[in-house]
Amino acid sequence: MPTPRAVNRRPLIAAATLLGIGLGGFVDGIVFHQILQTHQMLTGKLPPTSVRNIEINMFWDGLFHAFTWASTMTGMALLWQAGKRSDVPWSTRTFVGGQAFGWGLFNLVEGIIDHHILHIHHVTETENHLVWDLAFLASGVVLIGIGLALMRAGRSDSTARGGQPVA
Amino acid sequence: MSPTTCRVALLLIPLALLALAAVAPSVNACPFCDGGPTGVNEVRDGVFDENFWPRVAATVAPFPVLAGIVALIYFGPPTLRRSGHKDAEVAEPTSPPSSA
Repeated sequence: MPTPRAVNRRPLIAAATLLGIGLGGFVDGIVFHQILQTHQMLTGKLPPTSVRNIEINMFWDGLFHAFTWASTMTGMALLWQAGKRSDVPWSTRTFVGGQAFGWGLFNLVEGIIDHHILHIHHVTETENHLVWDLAFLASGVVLIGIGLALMRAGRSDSTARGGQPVA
Repeated sequence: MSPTTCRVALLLIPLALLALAAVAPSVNACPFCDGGPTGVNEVRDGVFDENFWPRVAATVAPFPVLAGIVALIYFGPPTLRRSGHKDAEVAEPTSPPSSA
């Protein structure tokens, strides 16, 4: 009779989720703050209508990016640790799903706290910002759904890193 | 460097960056803004005013929530931890393992 072996997917999911949070934060910062020049950290309090306000917002964007960088680095450290464990299935679907889940989680949590509770900024500082804010939350929900579906599909993956069966 | 030291270092990096931003004159916002004729550095004064700490709290507010969710994923809910729960158990494969 075959001996059952314990499988632990949590380390890989946690690492991928943290990477998704960090990289999702960088997408937010690069695409919205820098390329589209909107959605900076404190534009709800300090509208970007003067160089002074833009520069102050840049400082707070920098602090925000420091934390997204720390999330990414911590995710990489957890991924490195997970790769050394023989009980963690090295599943591409789980890893990609975890990252999508983390990115969606970032959009959802950041959106709820910053856009809807604290009102420190909105996706666009316009009259109809609610539509954009809700679309941002919806993107988070969609990404979480995709992530959960991929992680569910990855349940059947049972190969540890290096091609060995998990043990 | 031991893994524990690495973990502690990773946790301390954001705090160190924050402390550096708060106390080091050389990294104050807009070091090239000398204030012009008024002699007032508006950007520096605008960052390090009475709203500094509330704005720090607002900027980093999502991260403790996200960290809590990741901790819950990594360690599992307290009820599962107490019962020594594992994700699943699989039987030894009888055929070569499928690629992940």
